[in-house]
Amino acid sequence: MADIPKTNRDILNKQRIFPPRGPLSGIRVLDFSQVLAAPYLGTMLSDMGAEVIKVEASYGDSSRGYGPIKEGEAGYYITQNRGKYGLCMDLTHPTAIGICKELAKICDVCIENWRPGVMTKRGLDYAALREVNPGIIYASVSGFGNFDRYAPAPGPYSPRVCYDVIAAAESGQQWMNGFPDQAPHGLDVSWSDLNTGTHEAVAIVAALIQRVKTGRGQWIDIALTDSMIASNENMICMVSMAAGDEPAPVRNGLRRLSISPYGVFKARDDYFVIGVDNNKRFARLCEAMGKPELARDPKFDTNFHRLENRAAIEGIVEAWCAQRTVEECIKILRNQHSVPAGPILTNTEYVKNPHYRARQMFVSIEQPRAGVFEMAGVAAKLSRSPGRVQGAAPMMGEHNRYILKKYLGYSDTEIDKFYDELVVVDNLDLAYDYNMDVARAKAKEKGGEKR
Amino acid sequence: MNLQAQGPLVGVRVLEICEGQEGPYCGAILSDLGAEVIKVENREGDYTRKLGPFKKGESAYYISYNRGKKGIAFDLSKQEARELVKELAAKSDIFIENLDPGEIQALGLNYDVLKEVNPGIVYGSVSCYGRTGPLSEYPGNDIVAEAMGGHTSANGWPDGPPEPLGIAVSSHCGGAELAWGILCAYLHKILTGHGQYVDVSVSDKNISVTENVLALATMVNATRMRAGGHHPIVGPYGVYMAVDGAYAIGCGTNEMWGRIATAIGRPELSTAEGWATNLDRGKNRLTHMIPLLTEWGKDKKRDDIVLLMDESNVPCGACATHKEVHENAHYRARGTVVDIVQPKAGTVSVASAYASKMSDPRPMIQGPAPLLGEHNEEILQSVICMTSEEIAKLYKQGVMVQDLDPKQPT
Repeated sequence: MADIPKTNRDILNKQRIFPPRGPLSGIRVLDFSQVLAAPYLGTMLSDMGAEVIKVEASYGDSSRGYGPIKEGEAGYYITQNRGKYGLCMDLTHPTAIGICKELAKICDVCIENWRPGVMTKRGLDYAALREVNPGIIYASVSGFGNFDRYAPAPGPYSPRVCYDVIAAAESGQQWMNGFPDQAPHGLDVSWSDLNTGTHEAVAIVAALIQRVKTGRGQWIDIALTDSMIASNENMICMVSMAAGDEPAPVRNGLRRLSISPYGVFKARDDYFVIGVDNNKRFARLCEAMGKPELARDPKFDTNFHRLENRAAIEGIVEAWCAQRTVEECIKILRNQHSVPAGPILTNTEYVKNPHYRARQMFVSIEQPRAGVFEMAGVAAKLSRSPGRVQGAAPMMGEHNRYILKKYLGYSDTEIDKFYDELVVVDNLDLAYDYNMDVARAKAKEKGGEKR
Repeated sequence: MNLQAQGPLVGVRVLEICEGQEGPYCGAILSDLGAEVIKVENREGDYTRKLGPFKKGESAYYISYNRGKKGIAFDLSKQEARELVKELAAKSDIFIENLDPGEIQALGLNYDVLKEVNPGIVYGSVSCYGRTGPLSEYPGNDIVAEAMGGHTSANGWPDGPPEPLGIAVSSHCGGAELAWGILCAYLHKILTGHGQYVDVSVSDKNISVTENVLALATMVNATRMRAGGHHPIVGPYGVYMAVDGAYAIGCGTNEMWGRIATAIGRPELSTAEGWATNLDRGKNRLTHMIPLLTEWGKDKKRDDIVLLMDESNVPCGACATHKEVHENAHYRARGTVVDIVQPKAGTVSVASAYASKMSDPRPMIQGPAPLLGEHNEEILQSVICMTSEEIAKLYKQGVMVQDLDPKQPT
């Protein structure tokens, strides 16, 4: 990068304003999100063209401290917040709360993932925002659901503290992850957060569709545990069919529990995956292995029989794989016989994969300090009104002045006063070697909120 | 069986030609949100009808992904059947498919064809690789998409093999992404009148749900390794064993670690060298934290540990089995686990992310999953106004099929 701006003034001078494009253009979102689930949701909305205003408390989203860090900017934060405008305020200050409500008046959607009760304490819960904007669609993400006034579905666990890892545990997902003779282990990424953000996005656009017809807003309250339980394949139905004394299903290591042969297999040089989920594909696998008669063998002809003789059929497949390299196996299985199979890629491998390149799944963005690098593109590809990665992630408070002026009509003098009174803050100077302790001390020193 | 629709999408009609997981899951989401979802099946039926376990011939797999839909079944090898699907598509708002590459073209039901009969239609495809790009000609499924999308390589222990995710969560995330894409397109259609094609690849979605993993590669060129699900930069953050089960604990700050250290009777560790900071605990997790908590948990019950941590204000939860999830009163109260009555299997439970979670009106699971061709007459009569005589003819010619008495495969 030739000229990365290095001072705060440079950043403000180069303030990045991007007109969003996509099917949701014209929709405005007030984003009180932190860390992962709701920030990812906000980025999905932004990708589809919504104008997303991320409101950060004066100490900043804690993911600004999560790696990888380059020139003080956090890859974690950027991934989940690209394409948003950044407004940073002291959310304990009544004037700041007033500004949030003014924004709520002109926004269509509000998203938040604070612990249930926090938004109420701030005076920014659904009850408060619908007073100023009855049509607002208010979307909350929490571990077990909200439980205060208007909450659609409170339950006994709702007050519990919850992170992603807890939701993955309580929903049954972790119990199924790992080998049967060892302890289960956590999933590879925070699936509860990301899966819930995705499910919440669907509900928001459904609510927008309804609002076009009826004008009414609503509160959407999907919890991490809800989306993860809904994403349990056939497990809930399975246990409901089982006799009472039947033991609960248990994790099954390298192969999925209820389909065979389906999972990780070892070729001569490395591991790869084969996924045979129906008889047509099984017949093609047998063909590919040069043993077409197996497809008609009564021991293996249906998934039911393959599960009964699991060790035998998977043993045959293992033996076949062991004689070939991953490349050879995939060429024969996937390319020549249309059997679902593929290599197991790491992050540094998939970024080089030509298939993803062809699908534009890597899009360059330019951050003011960290420079140019690639982020994931838009997964849902629309032919006529496609979404796009709208722009970079905001520095803390980068768009304070822009938002207050453009949306709320404040003058520079009034905004200066907000700065003087520490209603509005920007912590652009904290972008180097950012860490939360420094941020909190600084905010405290400035009279800001304590956490 | 009559279905009861309630939710933001009431009045929206969806035609689904999907099998397996991610496509049918998208249809189930739309049904939970109130849409009328018509599932078109070929003579043999969705292959998940043959995946166990079964009760009275009905499959748990099929029920889980197809509750709340109406079912119509044709012999799609017959031209007349394909014409009828086209007629239904002409009267639908949304069409979704997840067949193997090339199959929907072979049926003559691809977007270019359907947009001729219904220019406003929103047409969604979901597949392992997507419908463009060099790999799009190959079939795939969740296990392949997770491997291609960087998840399998990172699931497991540093000294063990890469493991598939225990549950195909990526299929559901990909199915939800299709619902997201088509509903964005449908909103666009309401506002502008234009329909369009939506192409979702589960592999793409797997790359999008990256947390910071893609940034590791693109910002600092670091390869992510397997870590047993234990967080590399904070801790303890992961799953640990108790004497009778497992639990997850999520400690994000040093103060919280102090409370944990006190709760397990080792207060001195809160400030000890190698333990004091998040970075220490993350770095030394294999040599310090995992052995410590594994030893400590050996003689303690899972639920006692969860209670103890809860009292210490530390996020902690049981690694519940699905039996426990199924019986848990919280998920019943939330409408997440719901009982439905299947025509043959009787009362069974299914799960929904949406039922009850919206305030106005509250969505619900519309009802059971259909038997093969269960709603043939109803659909043809109500959607394209066919007469009973015409329908009887379709049965006679073998264009339309029905099986109201499924047998468990043996």
